[in-house]
Amino acid sequence: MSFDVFTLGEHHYRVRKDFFSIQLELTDALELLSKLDEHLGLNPPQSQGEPNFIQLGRKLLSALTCMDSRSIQTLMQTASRDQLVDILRTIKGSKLENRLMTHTTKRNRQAIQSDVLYNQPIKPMEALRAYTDFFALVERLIDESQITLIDPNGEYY
Amino acid sequence: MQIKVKPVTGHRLEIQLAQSQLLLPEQACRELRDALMAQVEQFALHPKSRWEEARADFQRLQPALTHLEQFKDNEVALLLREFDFTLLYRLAQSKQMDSLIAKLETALGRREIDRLTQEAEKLPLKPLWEVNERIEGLIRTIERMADEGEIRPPRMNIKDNSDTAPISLAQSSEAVFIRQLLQKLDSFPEKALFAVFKQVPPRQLAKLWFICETLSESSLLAKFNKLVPPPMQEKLRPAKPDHIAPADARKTAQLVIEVVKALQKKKTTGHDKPSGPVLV
Repeated sequence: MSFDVFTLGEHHYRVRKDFFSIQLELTDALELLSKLDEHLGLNPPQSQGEPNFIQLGRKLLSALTCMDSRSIQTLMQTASRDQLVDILRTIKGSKLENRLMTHTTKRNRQAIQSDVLYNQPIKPMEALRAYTDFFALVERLIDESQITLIDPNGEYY
Repeated sequence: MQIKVKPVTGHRLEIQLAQSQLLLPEQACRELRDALMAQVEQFALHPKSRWEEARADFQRLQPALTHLEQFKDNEVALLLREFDFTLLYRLAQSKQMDSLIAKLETALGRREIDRLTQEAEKLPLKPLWEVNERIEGLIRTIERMADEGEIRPPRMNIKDNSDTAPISLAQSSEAVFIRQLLQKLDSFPEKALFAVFKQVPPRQLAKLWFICETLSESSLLAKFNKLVPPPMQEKLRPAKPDHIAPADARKTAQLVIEVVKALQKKKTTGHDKPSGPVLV
């Protein structure tokens, strides 16, 4: 007997096995995955790399960069500076960071880059917090249809 | 949601998800993890089949948009007063459906177009299946307004396969069935036929009238003209279609049969009524 997981709408997941069934938000799923990986010992040893959920978080962030510019700008403007600083710390120096940065205002970018925390590496626990906070905001903006997720294989009008 | 995972003895994990608690062997936890990971990694992506289906639906529905070009200007205006065209307007813009946009501009006027354009700019992007739903909504609105006699759209066959030319009623498979009904009606005494005509809702009666003409059932048609007085005919005329899909004609026929049955039942129950006192 294996687990069935279904995606409901954009950011809800239903996990089902036998008589058990529960609905998770994207942020719940992220948190659960990080904890399972930790206890199942699936993460690489601390000295050799970062936990798996950070990879997943990056994948989710890069999915956001497929959005139309109005959506991504709305997201970057609605997120608090602290949220953005922490999120960007998880993708420091990458192309992905550049892509996200192009959608912030010049002023905001300067503020982020001059933040004391910006140049410090992020601890796994802080990274998880940053992702769950940020994606809770993403969920809310999707629900309010302020932003639209874009599947690059699809057609949107 | 409160999420806790802690190891317990015997290679098991206790997972707490809000109110539920799961006690699972490590193997099952791994399965859960892999299944969940696979779904979350698909974030923002939809199955390929869903897009293919949406594209196929769009191909089928698109003629409904170009069909609007054949509407009279004032009918387009009436229609779009009831139907929010914002998303479809943006679709027309990005698909460069220039003749449709030109049609809308003459029908609605510059100001209304400016409003639509502005609204369209505010609206978030929508996936193709939502566009399809919108076109379906447009089709339903056209049908309803046509049924209510508010507009008289030029004919179009979107429901049937768009590759095949519309089949005329006389050559369709429904014709045999409908002819049988018409001949049956023709055999009724005039009084009974009059009762049927009176009971059929006017819009359907207008269709029945048209069906008689299309199938050249001249005897019944003559009776219709005799029994339905000219003022009544004038009232029916606007509702009389100039084309009818075989399926639609069958619906009208079914309805007439219902009416006949109801009348027959009434008649028989009327006869069965005991004349004496009724014991309860």
